[in-house]
Amino acid sequence: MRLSFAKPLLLLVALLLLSAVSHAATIPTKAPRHLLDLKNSSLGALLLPTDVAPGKSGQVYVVDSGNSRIAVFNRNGNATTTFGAPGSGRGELRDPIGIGIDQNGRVYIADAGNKRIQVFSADGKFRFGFPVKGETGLVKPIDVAVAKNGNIYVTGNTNHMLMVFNKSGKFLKQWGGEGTSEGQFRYPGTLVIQNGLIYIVDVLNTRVQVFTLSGKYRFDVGEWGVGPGQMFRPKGIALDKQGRAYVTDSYMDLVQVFNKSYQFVYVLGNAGKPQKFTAPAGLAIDASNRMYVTEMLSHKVSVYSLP
Amino acid sequence: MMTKCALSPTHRYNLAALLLIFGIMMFLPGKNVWAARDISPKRECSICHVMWLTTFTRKNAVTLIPYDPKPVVDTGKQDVSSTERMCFSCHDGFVLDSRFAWANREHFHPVGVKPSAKIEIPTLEGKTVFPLNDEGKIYCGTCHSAHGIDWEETFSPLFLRVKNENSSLCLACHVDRATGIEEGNHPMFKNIENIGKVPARLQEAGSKFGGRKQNKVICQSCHRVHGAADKKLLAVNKHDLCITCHANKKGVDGTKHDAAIMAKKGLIDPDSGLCTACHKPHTGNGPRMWAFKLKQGENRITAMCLSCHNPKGAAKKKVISKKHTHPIGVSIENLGISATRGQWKAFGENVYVKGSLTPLPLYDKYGNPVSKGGQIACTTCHDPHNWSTLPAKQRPDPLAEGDGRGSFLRIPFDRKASICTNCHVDKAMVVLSKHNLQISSPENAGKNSGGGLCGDCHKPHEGAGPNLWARDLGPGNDTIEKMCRDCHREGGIAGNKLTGENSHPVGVDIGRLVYNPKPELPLFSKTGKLGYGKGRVSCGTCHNPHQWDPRDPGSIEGGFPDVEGNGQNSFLRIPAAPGEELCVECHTEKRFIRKTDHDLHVTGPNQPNAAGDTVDKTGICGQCHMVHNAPSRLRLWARKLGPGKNPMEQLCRSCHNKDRFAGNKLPTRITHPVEIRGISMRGGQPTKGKKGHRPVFDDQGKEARSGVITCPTCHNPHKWTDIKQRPGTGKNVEGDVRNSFLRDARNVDLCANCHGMDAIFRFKYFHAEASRRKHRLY
Repeated sequence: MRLSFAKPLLLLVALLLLSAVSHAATIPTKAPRHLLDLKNSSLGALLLPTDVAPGKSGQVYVVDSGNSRIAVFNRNGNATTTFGAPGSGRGELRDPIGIGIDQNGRVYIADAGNKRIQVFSADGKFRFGFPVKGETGLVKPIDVAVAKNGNIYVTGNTNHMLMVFNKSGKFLKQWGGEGTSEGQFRYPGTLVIQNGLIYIVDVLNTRVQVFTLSGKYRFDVGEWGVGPGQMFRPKGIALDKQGRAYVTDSYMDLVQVFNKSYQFVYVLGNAGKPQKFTAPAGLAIDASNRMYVTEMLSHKVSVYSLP
Repeated sequence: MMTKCALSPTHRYNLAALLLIFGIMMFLPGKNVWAARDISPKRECSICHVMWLTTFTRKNAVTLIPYDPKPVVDTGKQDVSSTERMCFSCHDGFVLDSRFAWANREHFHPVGVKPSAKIEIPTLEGKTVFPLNDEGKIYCGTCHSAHGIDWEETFSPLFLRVKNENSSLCLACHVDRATGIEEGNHPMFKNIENIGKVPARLQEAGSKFGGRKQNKVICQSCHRVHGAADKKLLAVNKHDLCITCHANKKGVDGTKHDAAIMAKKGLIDPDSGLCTACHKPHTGNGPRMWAFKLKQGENRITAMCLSCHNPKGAAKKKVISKKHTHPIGVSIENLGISATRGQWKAFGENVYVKGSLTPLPLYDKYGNPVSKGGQIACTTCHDPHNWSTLPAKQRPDPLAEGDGRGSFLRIPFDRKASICTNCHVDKAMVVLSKHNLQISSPENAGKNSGGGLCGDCHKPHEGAGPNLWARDLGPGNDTIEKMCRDCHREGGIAGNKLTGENSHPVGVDIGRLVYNPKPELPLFSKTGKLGYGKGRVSCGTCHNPHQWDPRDPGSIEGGFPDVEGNGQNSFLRIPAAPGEELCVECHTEKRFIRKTDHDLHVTGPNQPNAAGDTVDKTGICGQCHMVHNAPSRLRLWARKLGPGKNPMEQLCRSCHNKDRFAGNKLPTRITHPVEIRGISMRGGQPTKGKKGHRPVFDDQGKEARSGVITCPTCHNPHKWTDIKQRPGTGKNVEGDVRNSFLRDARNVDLCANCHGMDAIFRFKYFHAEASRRKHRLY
C-alpha cells in the first residue's frame, strides 16, 4: 500500500482532534460547606484582609491589612480583640500581609511596610521584632512561617528570595532569586511549612514550589494558564490533614485542590461550577478541616467546612 | 518475512516525525508544562492580556474563567487586561503594593463613569491623549498604560500616559481647578514653606509636592487619585485636610464657624468639611475661595463676613449693621500707631503703652492683607478661625453666647481693655482710672458688652448711640453730655460726682466767645460727632474720660475710688492747674493774667477759694471761677462775694475789701457814681473785644449794651497792662496809670474816653478832696 503525503497529514489532524477530545471535560468540583463570614473586627469592618491563621486555642487571627492591625475572632466567628495599629513603632504595623503561628502559639506578622517581622504573644502582646534584612539589605516581607525548630522563614518581595532567620531573628541563609528556573522565584508570596517541607507560592511563575527546610528544591505544583489545575494569580496555600494542597487564585477567584501527589483534583465549587471568591489571597485550614479564605475585595474571611 | 514499506524514504521519515510528535502529545498529561518555564514575550503579555491565552481558542477547551475577547491590536479601548481586577491581581501587595488605592475604594478617581461636560480631554495630533472605553467611560487605561510610556529622558514609572510632573496630567483635564486664587481656586505652585514645612501627616498620607525642592502645592498635595481618605479624593479626611497645612486655623474646630456645627443647625450642606462651609477650594469667590456670593460694594473681608452676618444670612442673629458699629476701612495711624512689616509701634507724646503692641492684620481697600499701613477690617479684631486665644482651661464654651473671652477675638476683650487699647493706645490709661468701673463701681463692672472694661461704656457692634455707646443716655444738652450724665446724675453710678447748677455751659458755640479759632480741644456736634475747631463745647471738650492725669498717662493716682481730683487731673485734657492752660485754650484773651497780681501764685498762694482749694490745685482761673459746682452762677464765682452796689463790684470786693486779703488794694476814694449808666458802644457799634471797650453791666452782672459803670468797666482783671501783650512780672508791684489792670492803659484818655475834655476836671472832682470841696456838684 502506498500512502501519499497528504494522507499522513489528514491522519495527524484526526489524531490531534482525537487528542483534543480526549482532554475535553467539565470542571471537576467539590463543594465546601459555608459556615460563616468574618467581616467585622472588634474595632470595625475588616479592610483588605490578606492572610489568616488559626491559633493554638481555637482563635483565628486575620491580617486586617487595610487597617494595619490584626483582628482576632473566636471559633464562633465573634470578634474578640485586635492588636497592632498603623505606625512604625513597636507593635505597630504598616501594610502587613502574611501571618504565621509557631509551636507555642506566638503570632508572627510580615510587617511589609516596615520591612520587618513582628512577633506577638497569642493574646496580642508585642514580644519582639526584627528587620527583614537579607544579604542585600532590607527587604519587604510577604509572608512568614515558623518551623518546629524555631527557624523563621520569610518570603521576600523585593529580592525574590526565601530568607531564613533563627528564632531570635538573626539572618541565617537565603535562596531563590528572580527567575523562572527551579528554585527561583518571581514574587514569592505566601508559604506554609508542613511535614518538613516548605510550600511557597511563586506568584508570577504561577506555581507552588516545594523545598526542604534546608532549601533543597523538591518539586513544584501548578502551571501557567486558566484551565483546571492551572494558575493565573496564585496567592495563598494551605494543606489539610490529608496533605491536600489548596491554592487560591486571586484573579480567577477560586480555590483549586491538589492531591497528595500534587495532581490537580478539583476546584472548590459545585456541579462543575467553581465557587467564586472575591480576590482570594491567604488561606488556612485548621485541625478540624475548617478552611478560612481571605477575600480581599469583599473585605471578609469566608469560613468553610471542607469536603 | 518482512513487508516492504510502500513509502518512499522521504515519506517514511516525515511520517515517523509526525507519529513521534503525535505520540508525545498523546502521552502528555493534557498540560502545557513547558509553559510555566517559558518566559516568552507571549506569556509576559498574557500576564495581563489573559484573553490572549490560546487555551480559550482551543476547541472543547475547559477554562476556569469565561472567554471575553477584544481586538488584539491596541485600539486604546478597554480590554479585560486593564480592568481594576486585573490591576489588583498584582497590586494587592503580593507583587506590587497599591492597597492604599483599594483601601478606600469609594475614594478613587472615578472609573466606569463618563467625564462630566466640564472636562475637555486633550487631544494630540487628532488622537485623544486619554482614551475612554467603548462606552465612553473612564477606566484605568484612561490615565495608565501598562506598556509604559517613553517620557524621553525617562520611562514612565507609574505607567502614566502623560508625565504628571507638578500635576500636569491632572491639569490636562482639570485645568479649571488651577486658574489661580483670583478666580477662587486654591493657589498652586506656591511654596508651602510660606506657612510651614510639609506636614508629616500629609507625607504619611502619601501627598506629593512639586518643584525642585518638593515644596510647592500641586494637585496631589491635597488629593490622592487612588485610596484617598475622603470624598473628593482628599488625601486626609475633609475635617482635617485644610488645617493640616493651615494649622493656625484649626481653632475653628468645634466653633460656630465649624461647618459641622453649622450643618447641625441646617445652615449649610451637612456634607461640608470643616472649612468648606465658608471656603471652596475650587471655583470659589475671590481670593479666599469664598463659598458664598460676595456682597458688592464692600471690601472683600467685610463682604465675606456679611455673607452670613446679615438679616437674611446664616448668622442673622448676629447682624452687623453699619449704624453704631466700629468703623472699618479706617487707618490706625490716626490713633498713634505705625504698622510696618508686621510690627506695631505706638508713637506720640501722650501715649501710655506697656510693652509692645500685638500686630493685627490690616488690609488694603480691596481686602488684601498688607504689611505696611493698611486699614481695619472685621478680621483685624476677629479671627474667624479661633474662638478664643485664652489657654485651654480658660476658654469659654465655643457654642455658647460669646463674650470678651471668646467671640473669635484675636485679643481678649477683658478688664485690661486688651484688644481695644491695642489700637486705641491713647485710651489705655482708662484702666488706671475711676472710669474703670472695676475701681469705682465694681458691682456695675462688666455688665455690658461681653464683660470687657471698655464694654462698660462702649459696644463695638450695634451700639446704642455715637461713640459706640453701650449705656443709656442721661439728661443733657447734647449727646456727649447725655453720655456722661448716664452715670454723672442723681441716682447714677457717679451720682456723687455732679457738676451742679452753676457749671460751665455745654452745648455752646465756641465761636461766640473764643478768639482762638482752632483750639486743641475737641468740639462736638449736637449728636456727639467729633470735630476740632468746629462744633460746640461739651463735657468731652475739657475732659478726656480715658486719662486721669493729663500730664502723666501712667499715673495711678486716679485709680483709687476715694481719690478727689483737682485742676491738675480730673480727666482734664489739659491741666487747669497750677497754671491756666486749659481755660485759656478757649478763653484766649485771658491768658495774660498769669504772673499778675490776679494770679494768686503771686499774691495769695495760700488763699483758698470757696471750695477750700488753693491756687496750686485750682489753677489761676480756679481761684475766682469754679467750672462746676460754683457757689455763684455769676461768672461761676469761686469766692465769697464782697459788698457792693452791683454784682460786678461784689465780685471784685471778694478780695478787694478791707477784710479780705486784697484789702490793701483799694482806691483811696471810690466815689465814681455807679448809678451813671454808660453805653458799651462806639459809634453805635458793640466794642467788645476791641480797643477802647468799656463794658457796662446790667443788674445781673451781665455785660450789656447799656448798663452801670462798675469796676470792670475800667478794669480788665485778666490783664495787667494793655501796653504790652504779656503776662505779669510775677511780682506784686504797685501799679500806676499805665497798668493796674486798666483797660486801654496805653491811651491817656482813659477818662476822656467817656468824659472828653472834661475828664481832668471830673477826675479831680471825684478823686481829690480839694476839688470836690470847691465845686460840690453831687
